[in-house]
Amino acid sequence: MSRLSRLSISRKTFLTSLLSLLVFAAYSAPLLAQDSDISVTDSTSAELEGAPAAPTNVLAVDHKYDIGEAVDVSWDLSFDDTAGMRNVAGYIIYRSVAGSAEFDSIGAVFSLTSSFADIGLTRGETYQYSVSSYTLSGQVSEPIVSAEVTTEREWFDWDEVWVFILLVLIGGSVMYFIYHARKGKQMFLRKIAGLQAVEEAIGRATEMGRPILFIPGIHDMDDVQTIAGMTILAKVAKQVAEYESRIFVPTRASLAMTAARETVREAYMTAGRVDAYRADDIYYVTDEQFGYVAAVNGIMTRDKPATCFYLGAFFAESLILAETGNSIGAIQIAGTAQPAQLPFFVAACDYTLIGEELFAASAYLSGEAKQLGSLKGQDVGKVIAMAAVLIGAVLATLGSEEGMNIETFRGAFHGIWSVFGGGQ
Amino acid sequence: MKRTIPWIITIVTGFVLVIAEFVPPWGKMREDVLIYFQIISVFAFFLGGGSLLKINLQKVFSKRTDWEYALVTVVGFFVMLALGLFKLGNPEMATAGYAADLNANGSWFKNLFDAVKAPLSASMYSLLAFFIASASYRAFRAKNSDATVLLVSAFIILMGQTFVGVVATGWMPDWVSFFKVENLSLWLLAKANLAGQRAILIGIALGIVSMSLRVILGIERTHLSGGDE
Amino acid sequence: MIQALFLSPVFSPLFSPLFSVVSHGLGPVFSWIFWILFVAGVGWVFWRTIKGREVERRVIFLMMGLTVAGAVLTGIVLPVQETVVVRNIFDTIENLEEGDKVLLSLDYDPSGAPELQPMAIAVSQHCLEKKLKICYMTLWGTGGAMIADVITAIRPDFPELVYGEDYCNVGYRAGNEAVLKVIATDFRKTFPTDVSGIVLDSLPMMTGVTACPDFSYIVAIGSGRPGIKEWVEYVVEPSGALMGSGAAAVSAPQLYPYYPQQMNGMMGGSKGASEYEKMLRRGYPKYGEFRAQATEIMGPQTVAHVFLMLLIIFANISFFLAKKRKGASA
Repeated sequence: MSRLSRLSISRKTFLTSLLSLLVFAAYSAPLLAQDSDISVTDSTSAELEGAPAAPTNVLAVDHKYDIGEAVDVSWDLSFDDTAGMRNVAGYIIYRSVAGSAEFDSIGAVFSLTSSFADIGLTRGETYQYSVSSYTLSGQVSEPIVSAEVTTEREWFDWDEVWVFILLVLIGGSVMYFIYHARKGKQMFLRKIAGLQAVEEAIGRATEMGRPILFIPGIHDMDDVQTIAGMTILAKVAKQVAEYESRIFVPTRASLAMTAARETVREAYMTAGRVDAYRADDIYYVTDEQFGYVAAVNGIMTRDKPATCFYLGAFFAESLILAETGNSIGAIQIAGTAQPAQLPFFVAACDYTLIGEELFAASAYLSGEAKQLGSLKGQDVGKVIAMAAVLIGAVLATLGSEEGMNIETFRGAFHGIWSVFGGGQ
Repeated sequence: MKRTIPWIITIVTGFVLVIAEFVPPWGKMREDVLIYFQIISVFAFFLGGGSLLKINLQKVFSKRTDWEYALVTVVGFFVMLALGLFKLGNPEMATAGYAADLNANGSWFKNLFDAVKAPLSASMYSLLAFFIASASYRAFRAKNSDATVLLVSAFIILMGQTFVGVVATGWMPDWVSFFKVENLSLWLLAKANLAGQRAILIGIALGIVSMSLRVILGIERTHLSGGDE
Repeated sequence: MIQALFLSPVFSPLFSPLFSVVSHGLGPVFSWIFWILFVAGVGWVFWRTIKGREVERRVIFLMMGLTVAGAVLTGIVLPVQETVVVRNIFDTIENLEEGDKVLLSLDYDPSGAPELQPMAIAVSQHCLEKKLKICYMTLWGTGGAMIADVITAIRPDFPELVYGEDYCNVGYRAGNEAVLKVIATDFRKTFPTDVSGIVLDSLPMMTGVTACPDFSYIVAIGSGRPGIKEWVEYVVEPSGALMGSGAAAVSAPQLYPYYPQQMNGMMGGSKGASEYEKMLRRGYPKYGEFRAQATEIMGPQTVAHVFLMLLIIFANISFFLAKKRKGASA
């Protein structure tokens, strides 16, 4: 039958996703609608030569939540910048160490800019700042001096407090469900067709007497997707060992090769067939992206593996690999957390693990209560995310600027993403 | 022991780095750990390079099928290594010595890079165009309602990318300009596609949280030469 | 009406061989042969489709190759439509002042070069026209060669340039994200010297540059990891530097969420590059005589897109015909 229809989702899922898409669209609309016109400095309108009006209200404050190495300087724009002569070309910022009357110029910014971050300072030192406006012809206004400021070190970054709360909530619920998962207690699990097909795919390769190809993505071990690929490799290799089949793992990173060898050897050992383990079947090819693709395509066309797994991080090579696999008639199971590559895999592979399914796969395949518990904890995070999206969409629609505004949510998600997804 | 020590390193590094995100004075630790990783992977490269040479040399000496390809790999490896290390023919060698820019124009390394590596790389990448053609011929068929949605959106976006599409709906009056192909395609990309991608990304972020915790807590230990316990 | 169609910007290139065959000799004859082959090929695929037979993938590959090769050889040039996303980068550079510094990071290798190199060249030319100072760097080991190529390409047009005063190249440092994280606050810690070991302090243009925000504008052009996403996460977010970007077409959709907050503009694939070339040509007419690499690529790309659309249409016709036959026989 058709390859695509095996992937088709039920009507209910389809409608639900459509609904969530709409909500997301509403949420993303204001983000996109923003115009990003660059303001043009009109420096030609200067008619009179003379010092421009000085900026006012110069403030220097210790940069919050750092190790005491930065000061934020801000001021109100010069009258001649926004109105008046409109001849301000920019602002010059000066600094003095407390006690000394000598101000050194430390930087300059464009017109219509009203802040400057001075970094690389000494902790516990007291500084004073002053700011002048200047024109293109070199006229500089009198400097306006700020109050003294002392740099301080802080131990908690309160800007990230939302991220911290979310982290505790989500991480806490994952841990709670891990440790409270009881053996034997039946847990509802959504069926993931791609994972149910793993055993069948390995069996087929064994019957045909052809090898299995496993690609753990093209990233190194510092990417969590590669780790996810390795955890699935452990399960796959164990079955391969039991079926007395053969598995090839060409890698693009040397460290990934070492990790894959350990993983496969351990799997063979668990299956009690350590004598059948061949280290040379798991090898490093090249760090060069398309050189690697050429090598893997070569393996496919020469050795004709009956089953291909692509589980990890992929970029432009996803379709090149999957189409070649398709042409040799291999059963193909792919999974990645690179959203841009998912469509390619869906089009050319039999089964595709979409995003989070890649990370859930090893838990799913292991069937261990604790591992499955972590998936349940993850769902708590989903509920929080959905609530946040709804509230965010409502707030954005109402145009709320005060209080708990949309930026808070955006910041929070960005934070969570950078804590855990930063390795991508 | 063999498993406990790596696990202790994992749990300590994992939790400390997560906390470091919120404690400014610890912030530099993440930077340092990234550098440790680079150092470790440099050493791993010796393993990788060694394995590459071993496997290919074995093929060459035992004259296994397709041993000629293996020979090309080995020769290529050593030629580029030598040219890079000794900076042969590098015009900057006279002034800068071994600090010369590896890619200085005229150096043999750069010449081989331009003449062999660059076109080979670009050709492999360009295979994508061919595979996109065969994949879309096979996959974009209106088999059911979902596939039809997929087909129609793919078609609109393709139309939006070409001037055929712009001409095809260029006659539309302004009050229905939303339905001009280029606007429809932009809407699909910037709204429907982006919103869907965000949903997938949130799922991924949560999946990473749960996966990372399994690894840090030592429940998932396959990568530490663990396997099922 | 028919004449208007022939002369419209879309179709005239397709039919130009028809008119030029008399005046231009063999070149157009070649174009003729190509178009005849193309139409015959499409016709054959269509015929197979109607008959309900699958078309072999190798035929599709051959057709695709023919389409692109033919379009390249006949040199079809199609009009380019400008978008705000690219315009923003052009305007930012246009509004910088003489002597301002721009950091250009080329994070790609030869495979990305056809799409990305034209961006790097066009942005460099624009900066030099505006008498801005460019500092080149790369996060990819293979990026050094890309920088060298860009400098070689632009150098002849600006013979008066002095290395170290008007431009410099700090080259590659290993460390991916770690490099970015450091240069966001301390440029010299990672790049104490330039690519040939000259101490940065002895390059006049680098005085006053201590961290990324000291550059008036950063343009990161990249095709993977580390690339634009990492620039946003490790430089723009923490330091607030102003950045525009150039991305390979395959990765561009994924980067849209960063526009316009974290990056004020983005060039996506050859399309983005050709838009930039067009803007450059309008602002600085002397470039009209130079090759517009990306614009040249756009013609073949469009023809390939049209071919893809035809394939999709044929595939669906064949699918429905098969369904109908099945229904009739049942």
